[in-house]
Amino acid sequence: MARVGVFICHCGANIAGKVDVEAVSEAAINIPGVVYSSHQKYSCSEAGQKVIIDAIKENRLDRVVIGSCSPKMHENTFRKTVQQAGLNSYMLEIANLREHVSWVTADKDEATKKAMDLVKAAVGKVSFAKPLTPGQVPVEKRALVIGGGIAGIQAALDIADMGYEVVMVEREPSIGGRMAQLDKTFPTLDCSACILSPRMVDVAQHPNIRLLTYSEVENVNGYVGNFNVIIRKKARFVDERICTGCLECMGKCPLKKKIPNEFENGRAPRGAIYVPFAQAVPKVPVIDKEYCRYLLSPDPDKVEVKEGEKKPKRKCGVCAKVCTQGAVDFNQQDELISEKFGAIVLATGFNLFDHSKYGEYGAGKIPDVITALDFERIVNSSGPTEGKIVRPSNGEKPKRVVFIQCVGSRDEAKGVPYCSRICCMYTAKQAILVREKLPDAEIYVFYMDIRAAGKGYEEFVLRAQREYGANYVRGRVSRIYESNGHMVLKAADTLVGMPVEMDDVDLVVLATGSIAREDSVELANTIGITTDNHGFISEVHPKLRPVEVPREGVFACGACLSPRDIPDAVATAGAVAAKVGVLFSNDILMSDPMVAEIDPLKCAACGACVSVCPYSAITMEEFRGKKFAKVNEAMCQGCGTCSAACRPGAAQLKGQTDEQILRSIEAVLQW
Amino acid sequence: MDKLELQLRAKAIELLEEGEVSIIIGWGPGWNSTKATPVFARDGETAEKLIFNPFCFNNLSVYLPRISEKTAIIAKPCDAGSIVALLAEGKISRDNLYIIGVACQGIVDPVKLEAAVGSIDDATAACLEGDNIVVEIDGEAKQVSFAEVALDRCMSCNQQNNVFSDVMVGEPVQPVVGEARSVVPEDAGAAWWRGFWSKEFDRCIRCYACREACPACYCRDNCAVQALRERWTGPRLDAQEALMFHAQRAMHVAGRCIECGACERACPVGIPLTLLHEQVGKAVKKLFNFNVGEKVDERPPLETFRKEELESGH
Repeated sequence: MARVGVFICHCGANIAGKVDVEAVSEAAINIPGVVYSSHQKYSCSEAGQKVIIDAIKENRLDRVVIGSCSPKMHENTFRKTVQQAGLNSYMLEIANLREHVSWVTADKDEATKKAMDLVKAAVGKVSFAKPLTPGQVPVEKRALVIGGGIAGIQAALDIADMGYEVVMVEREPSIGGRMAQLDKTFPTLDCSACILSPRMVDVAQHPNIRLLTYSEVENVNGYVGNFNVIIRKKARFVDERICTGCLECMGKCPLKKKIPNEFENGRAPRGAIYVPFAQAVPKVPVIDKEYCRYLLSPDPDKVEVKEGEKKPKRKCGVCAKVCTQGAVDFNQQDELISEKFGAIVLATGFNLFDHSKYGEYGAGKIPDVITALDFERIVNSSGPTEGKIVRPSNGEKPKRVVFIQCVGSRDEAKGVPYCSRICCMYTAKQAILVREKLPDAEIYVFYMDIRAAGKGYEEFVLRAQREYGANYVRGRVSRIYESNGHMVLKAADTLVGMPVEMDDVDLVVLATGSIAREDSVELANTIGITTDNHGFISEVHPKLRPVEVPREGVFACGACLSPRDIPDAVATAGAVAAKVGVLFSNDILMSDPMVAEIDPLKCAACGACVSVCPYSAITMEEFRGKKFAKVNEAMCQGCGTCSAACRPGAAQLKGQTDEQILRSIEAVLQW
Repeated sequence: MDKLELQLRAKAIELLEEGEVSIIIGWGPGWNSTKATPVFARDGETAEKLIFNPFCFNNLSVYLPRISEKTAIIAKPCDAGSIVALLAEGKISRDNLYIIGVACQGIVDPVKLEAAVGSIDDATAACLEGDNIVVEIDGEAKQVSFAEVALDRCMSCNQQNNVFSDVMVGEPVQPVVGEARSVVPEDAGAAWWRGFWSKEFDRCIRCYACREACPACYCRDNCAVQALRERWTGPRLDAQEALMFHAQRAMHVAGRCIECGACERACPVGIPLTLLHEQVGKAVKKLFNFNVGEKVDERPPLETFRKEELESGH
């Protein structure tokens, strides 16, 4: 027979103020199996823990129920306490008398009665508890960083500097990400490329970092400390080991002015063989197989040739001819690389809202209505206009420039209710850049609210208004349209309550908001984690665990979590590095023993558990001709889904078995 | 009919002789002509016993999970549906299985037959002649329309000739045409059902024959209702515990039950279990738009999660 001890905590007045703790403690002694019951002011205090330890020893208790705050607060504390007294730390059950009772029940009598019931349930459950032992798993001290923007770069550098090996996977031909596309950064007006490119070079040269650009993660298996990842290295058609980065090939590509360059947001052309921008890392071109005339022409070896006819030749191939190193290799194939990692860092960044959804702003059809990212490229000296601010329609200098904020932010009708956080600031920055390049231009900024929370941010916006003469108008622009070759803008100034109509607007810059990458949900599914409604990666806890995601050993930083600026992206990247460092400081990890277990004798081999397991932790095994399901304890996260799906009850969650749950229900109903 | 049976036997003997399979599962004559019984033939002599007629009510797929050798099974549409469901769950292997399909006009409901012709315990002969079932009892031939005594389920069946199989034996057939005679009033609500089942389950003796006859109930002795530690169902013999058992079984076969009615026909006290499984089946169909026994590569809906389900609010 079990010997259960019950300890009721007052939690000062937190519990005792609503629950008659004395009565609960007295009633508990009558529950079958309970041989000791007491109450204390603060169970979690050192004195309180000593009372528990002494009582366990004196009364030869083998199980303990503590009626206190939520197990989220002090379960670990009390597990250690009972362990100190010589019990297995899982012979403990906590009845949550604070969050579940005193804080949420108005009536004192009802609260006391509910507290008694919860104690009964806990006694019923702990009576059938079994000692559990954590498992041990080794840690592969290598990290995978997915995404080579500023967040990924920072995380990779920090982890590599700790002495751990890092593999960085970037989907584009070069690392750099969004920050590489920007001209200046707020609020200091540093040149973005100038502060970013040294970091990019550091990544390329770091002895602990292996860079895989033009690559994507295909599959993730395994568990914390032991992930198996398959990476697809897309065919680049240029041998990275040989190419010297002379870029002679790019100049000779017959398509060099034909293909819109994604890096320039489509505002400048590139060839079929290209590096996206001058400071690209690695400075090795890729051949775009969607456009390359050589690759699109039929392979002579595969074409049937009639007698008397000549074998057709491949088209073009100029890049291969001009390459002095012979680095162009049209036969390159996608390569699948399988690697083992202990931790995975997501730094996949963000996209910008597609303003064609705003019909009132011309739905992307008016040439002089551009996005903020277009503006960044236009104002950049290496951009399509070499830094001259001109109207895309006629190449003339604009005299009247209008910025519109919150395009695809704080707009529930467009499905983006959240604030993108960066637009107020970059709009102020862009207004300043306009003034610097066009001293005579009129500048208007239409805004909803100015959100400038950050070091030096508010001052920066005020500078844009006072020193640089940007006219801030509070109100939403209702319509932009073209009339007789002029752009007309209609809005309301909500501070004075007057409609505004502007003729002769030369350039409109839309502050498009941040959205999740269109394939973020797919990536989350590949890795086995979740996203929020908008596709941003969900963190475990937004405040206390902001860079951890619900799959252990996976971390996220930067704008894939939510819209954020460069300082925040870099800060979270550093935080991720610290978390990875903590993980890698262990040679062996203790796994939570409260995982699923499948009784092979009861298993009907129906495979329901295999099908429902969100962590792919269950596989079908065979022994002497009998099939049964088996749980990989290191991969199991203890969610209990298999246990719910198992018809014969073979799958049980240790520490939360069907028997324990049923007996705790019975305890409430019967005792 | 005779011709079909000869073809069945010939096919079975051919498969055995060629060593394609080592066992044939089919139906043979039972202890009386209205009760066909399962036959397990390992040799030509036993295979000569194989028959098929409207009295072959057992769902033979129930035996498949217990057999690991190369097997040929004779399957009517219901049996084939169960086979597909078992394949979908990965419970049986297609490689080890040869399915001999037979078209089915309908199966005789023994309860209806007894109601029409009196006790059939002493029937000496029974067959389908044209549109009538003819039963010989005490030397007297009694005749009743097939439509009157066929299973309710067969009236709404549209799979007569659509059998998942490796080979079809016999000719395509026309379905039996008649009307199902439901005891359930159209406006039956929760209260009616509660009353109905507490009356029906009061008779249940918990012999678990329903479970043993069911192809989806392959957990056998590990069945949750027999879990001694958990005690999901108490040992008392009363309507309440019986309801717990049957409700649990209905939930466990939800999305996996093809509603063949094997459970009901196995029940020694005549509990109309098909009604229970039909109700659950309707809910599954509505919630998940899933037809049991249709696809061999789709797991039961309660074991899978599709994103559309979240979006549709189910």
